[in-house]
Amino acid sequence: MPPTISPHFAATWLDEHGDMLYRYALLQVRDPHQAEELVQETLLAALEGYARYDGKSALRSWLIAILKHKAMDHFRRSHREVAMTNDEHEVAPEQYDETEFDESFTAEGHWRQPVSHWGEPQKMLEASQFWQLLEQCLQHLPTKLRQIYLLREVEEESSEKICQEMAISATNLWTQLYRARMGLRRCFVNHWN
Amino acid sequence: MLTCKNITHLVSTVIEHPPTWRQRIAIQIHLWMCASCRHFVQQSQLLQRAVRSIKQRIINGEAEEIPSLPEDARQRIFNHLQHEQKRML
Repeated sequence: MPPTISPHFAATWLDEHGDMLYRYALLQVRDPHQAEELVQETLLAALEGYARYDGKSALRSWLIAILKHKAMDHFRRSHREVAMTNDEHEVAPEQYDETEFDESFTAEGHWRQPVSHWGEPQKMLEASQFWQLLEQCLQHLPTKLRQIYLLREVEEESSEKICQEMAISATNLWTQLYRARMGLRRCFVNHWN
Repeated sequence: MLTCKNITHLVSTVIEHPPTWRQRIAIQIHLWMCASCRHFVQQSQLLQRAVRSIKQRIINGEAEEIPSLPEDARQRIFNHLQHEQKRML
């Protein structure tokens, strides 16, 4: 049976889960003000919906799931705004310069510079610099590209669902994911020593 | 004959757009011969593994590379929630 609402919930949740929710929100929207708004909306929705929380999933997972829905609403709103000012239906590559990663290859399609070996993966994953750089490189991706990429890799949404949410074709999805993955790797290679 | 650029396309979207068996053989042959593309595949796999673990790192409180909730923002949210909660009770 779900516990009844107590006046201390909001304060406790904010104390215990505020950082987690804010980090997850920042990963999604990048802008600190929007992230703050998402955390607030999430905690409000959680307070209002607490009677429906069955306790089967961990409280953190439940809160994250609410925030994920709020973030999707946010994306939809921002895409509508973009759609009104932009006639293109396909995802625009924004300021992203396609030749940036094409520069990796010669006209014949060979690597311009040899791709080096990174060494022990486990060691890299244990280094805090690795995660800092990954975060910076993710933030460096253009907004829509990052959203599509995060939906695929972090949320592990199906291709069908992403195409539907972002109103793009399957071919366009493959292109966007290719750009995101190449862009992320390239940024990483350029800054990892 | 597949070029390195072709390989990056085929390998990057292998889940969303699985290659045909002919393409798979061509990829394998290319990877045998090309150290750069082998390294590219290893790098891509490592980055993918890392990105897929970000959510769990955040839930576990390990993702210190992402800023935590600033104190002023925490206070604003707290005030708002207190207000709303009083209204709800």
